[in-house]
Amino acid sequence: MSTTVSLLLVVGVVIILIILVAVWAGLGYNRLVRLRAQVQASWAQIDVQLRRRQTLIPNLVETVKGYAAHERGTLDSVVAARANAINATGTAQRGQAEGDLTRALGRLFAVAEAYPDLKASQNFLALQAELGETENKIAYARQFYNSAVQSLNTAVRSIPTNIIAGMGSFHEEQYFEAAEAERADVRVRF
Amino acid sequence: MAFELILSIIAVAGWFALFAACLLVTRPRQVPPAPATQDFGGDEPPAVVSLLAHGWEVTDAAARCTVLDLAARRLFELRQPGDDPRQTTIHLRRDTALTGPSLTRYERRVFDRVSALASGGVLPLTALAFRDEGQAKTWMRKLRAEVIADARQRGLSRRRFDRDVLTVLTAAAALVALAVAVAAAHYSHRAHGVGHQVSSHGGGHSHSGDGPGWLSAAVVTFAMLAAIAHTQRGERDTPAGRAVAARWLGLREFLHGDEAFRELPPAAVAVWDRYLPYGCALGQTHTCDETIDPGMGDRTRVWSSLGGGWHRVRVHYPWFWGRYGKKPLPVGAWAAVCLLAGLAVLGYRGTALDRPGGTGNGLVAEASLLVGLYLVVRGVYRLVRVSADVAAPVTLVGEVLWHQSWRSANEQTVLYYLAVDDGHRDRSGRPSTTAWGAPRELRHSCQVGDVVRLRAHRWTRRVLEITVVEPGRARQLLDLERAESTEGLITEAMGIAPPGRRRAGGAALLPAAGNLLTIDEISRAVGQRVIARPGPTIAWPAPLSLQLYEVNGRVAVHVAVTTGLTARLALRARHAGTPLSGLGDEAYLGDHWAIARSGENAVTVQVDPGAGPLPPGHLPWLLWTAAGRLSAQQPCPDLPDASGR
Repeated sequence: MSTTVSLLLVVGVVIILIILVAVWAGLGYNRLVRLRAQVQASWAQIDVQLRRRQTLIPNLVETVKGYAAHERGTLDSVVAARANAINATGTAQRGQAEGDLTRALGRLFAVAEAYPDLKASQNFLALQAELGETENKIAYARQFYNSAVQSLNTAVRSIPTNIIAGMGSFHEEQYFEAAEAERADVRVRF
Repeated sequence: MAFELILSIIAVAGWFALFAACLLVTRPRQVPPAPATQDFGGDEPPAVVSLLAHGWEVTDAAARCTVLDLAARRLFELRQPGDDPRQTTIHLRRDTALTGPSLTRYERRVFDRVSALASGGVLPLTALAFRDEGQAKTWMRKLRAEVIADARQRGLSRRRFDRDVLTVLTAAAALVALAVAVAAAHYSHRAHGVGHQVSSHGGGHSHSGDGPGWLSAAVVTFAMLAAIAHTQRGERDTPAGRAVAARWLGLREFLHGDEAFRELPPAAVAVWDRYLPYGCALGQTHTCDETIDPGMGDRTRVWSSLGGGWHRVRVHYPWFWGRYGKKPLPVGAWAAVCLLAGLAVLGYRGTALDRPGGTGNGLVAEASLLVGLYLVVRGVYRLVRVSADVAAPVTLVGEVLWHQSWRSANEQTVLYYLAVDDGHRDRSGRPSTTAWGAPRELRHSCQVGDVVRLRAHRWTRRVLEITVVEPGRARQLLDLERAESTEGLITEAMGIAPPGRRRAGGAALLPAAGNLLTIDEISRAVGQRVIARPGPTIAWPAPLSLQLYEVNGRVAVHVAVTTGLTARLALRARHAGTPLSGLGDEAYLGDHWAIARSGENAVTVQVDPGAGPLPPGHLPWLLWTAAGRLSAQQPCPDLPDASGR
């Protein structure tokens, strides 16, 4: 009698433990799925803004060409950087290519300073403003993306979620790094 | 009786069924969120967004997100020196423009609170919490009304029971009242008939029909039902509001998936800009929600700015002290009783021992010795302490931290806790204090934030006298509690005269004098820190709104707004002054006064001669600013320097 009760007790405890582990694993898995989905959603937001910037560039190049046609080298570098950015795949490569594009655009705007007519052009000013706004959105999108990546990577590396991450083939994602030029442009407010 | 009762019950129940149907039909419907997006849903301020995101209800989140939004817009800065977000401090920017056209009413309310409480331009974020429940409620109520007013003006919200619904409910209430009147009259008639029969058979007097009871029943029923119908039921959605809410909920969906965003501290606004206030408005910032408390703060750990710097003081509130806050006489009398009782016990014990046959041992004898000694020692100790209290009351200077009623008798508070930071520190070196017991008559002697000189009995902690040494900065924030309905506050915030306030001629509502100039502006013009004291507002027969500003307890400046005939008479009396061109419709300047008219309204700024001569140009600048806000059209120039340029 007592042996049967003990056996039932042990079986009951084991079943409860199995249920608890299953619930915990399910919750952990769902959390990882949610974090990965957030990374993907954040990347999609970056992607939208980057493509928007790429769409604006041909117009910008055409406008600048109308006033400063002999700045061919600068214009070509912008066009080439844009092409590289479009063809880039993967976060790191994309980040590198977009950084190159940002630098090329910076050089283009620096060149434009020397052309008063270009600076006064409404079309150029509108494009410049729109590009500036897009850059802002890219910066925020990058913040969101990196924040989401940080949450996912922390979960993937931490015990015990790393066990579920290993079984569910969740892996760490790469951060979308800021371009060197943007890093240098840190303003300290007092 | 049964018929009348059933008729009344059916009528009233029918009305409540109609009322419930109205509530059901007008409830804010759930808004399906737009696809998750990182883009903002529009240009609505975060407080309005919080209204839309919380089912058309203004919650504490409106105040919290406005604080963050002002920081995101660089009106002030949030700095967090350590790991704990509760250590965050607000730093006012010196270059912050004081003019307020870019701020909404509720943003101005929050900004004014921050700037008024700041000491040396700094304020701990958690010190924003209130220390007076009434003030907290009034402040929040007004903020709520202002947010709703803004939302209504944007077409995003509307009153839950509009005029049509109210008309239907009122008409239904009238029908119910009629049914109740019929039932009461019928019952009265029947009772009268029975009474008549009884009186004719028995020869006695009739007891029916004394007074129009049916009329009273009808009036009371109508009044009650109409009051229920007209009670503020909150806000409801509009088609535009639902569209805007859906967009903002798209952002909420996006932020909801970001675990790290929820844990961002308030100081992260420097990096996340307006995402943080909007996240707070959408309920996605847990850490910020825990840190920014627009309600009542913790009374046991209160911020004090005594001595210039901010520090947190631990406050103890005695609860079980028998002597706490009591007058010396009763405490002394009880001590004497205690002493006498002790002596009596010891005396009785001695007598018992001396008695023939007294053994002098046993538990009772030892216990009586202990009890007697305890009572004697206690009595003597208390007598000595109370005598010392009376002989040498202490005087200290400190900042009032907390004021709260404690002991009541006959439904009246007789003793108040009064926590004062006098620089005392506990054994570990941390600032701490024990609340004093202030009797009722001293209740209104000081306000929270005042620096006071306190004379008190140290042992009983009873306060004898309070003198305000320096009025606190929080005084300028004192909001008068108004019995006005929420709807009245909303219409006022929208700039619409509530029906009861509209004059017979249909003229606009008299603008409040307190809204025309800020404390900072007056302080800058006068060259000293002023404290606002609301003056009276007279609606009829001579409409007047008065706002007083004090320096060192004396009125230094008063601003008055009049309208109609009163305004014309005021101007006629000042025609002898120097005319000022380009200011309102007409304006005049005197030695210590300046007046301007804008349409039907006139504003007068008067400086007390005792406040000293103002630098040239300061009085016209004040007038210019006030008149600009009066008409809401004039541009306000900056304060001229002392040379008058």
